[in-house]
Order: sequence, then structure tokens, then C-alpha cells
Amino acid sequence: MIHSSSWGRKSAYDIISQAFDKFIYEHENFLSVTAGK
Amino acid sequence: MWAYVDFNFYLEVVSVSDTGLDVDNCYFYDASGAVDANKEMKVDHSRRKVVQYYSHVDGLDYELGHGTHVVGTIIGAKAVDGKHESDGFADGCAKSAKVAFFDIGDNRGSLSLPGTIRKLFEVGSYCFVSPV
Repeated sequence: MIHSSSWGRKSAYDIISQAFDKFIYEHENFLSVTAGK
Repeated sequence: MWAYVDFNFYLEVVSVSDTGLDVDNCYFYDASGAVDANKEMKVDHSRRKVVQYYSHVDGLDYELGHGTHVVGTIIGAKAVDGKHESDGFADGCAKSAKVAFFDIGDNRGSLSLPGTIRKLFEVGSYCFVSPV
């Protein structure tokens, strides 16, 4: 599954970034595309 | 390095979270009826472009909205009558794919995420055989 989260984030590596990483680590068939600023 | 690849992704579904989606835009418009923006996990694969619209915030995009732009870039396919597709100058890179949309924006473009990231990803996964 591909998910676009291209709304991006201005903040540093925070709790939401950690949650993204954790979810992706636990779901090998999941790809999140996120914009960076 | 960028290499152009012709991704058509026929019948694939891409999950997108963003400010909202203008479902009446000719790149998503579906003559078979209005898209049902709600807070259910309902999926309708028979729809031309939008198989799911989860309205976490308001079920709308603001004028010239970011979400409409993003979804168009990915899966947009012009059909002025909502039925017969023709080449559009802004067709998406995966124009044969469809979208499961998660609305996180209000009418000014301000974003509101769900309580857990899992929720953000889980809703769209109901388009697949084995949801996350």
C-alpha cells in the first residue's frame, strides 16, 4: 500500500515522525511518501 | 537521478491524506453519483476515481486546494462528463489508478491529524484484501 502524506512537516524528528517510522517498520508492504521542508 | 517510468497502475488504489479533495473537479468527477464523504471505512471500487473519502475534518477542500493538486498529480484523469476519459494536460502520473482519500484539512487549509498515525493509514487499507 502506498500513502501520500505530502502535507509535510516543519518540525524536527518529533513524536509524529516516530509514529510514522514505527508503523512503517511494522508493516513491510506499506510505503508512506512524505514531503520534507 | 530521475528516470521516467510509465506507471499506469490500472485498478491500483493510492491512499492520500491532505487538505481535502474537490471531487467535482473534472479530473475526479464521476457521473455515477456524488462521492460519499463520511467517517465510515466504506470502499466502492466501482467509482471512477475516488473509491473512499474519509472525512476526518470537513469533507471539502479550499479553493485551489493543496489536496486536490496532490491527488491530481498522482491519479487525476480528465473526464468532463465524468464517464469518458480524454487526455488532459494535468493528468496524473498514475492516471489509471484510484484514490482512497483521508481529509485532514479545514476550509482554510489548516490541518488536524487523527489521534493516532495508525488511524491515518488504517482507513485507506480497507481498500485491500488484508487491511493493516
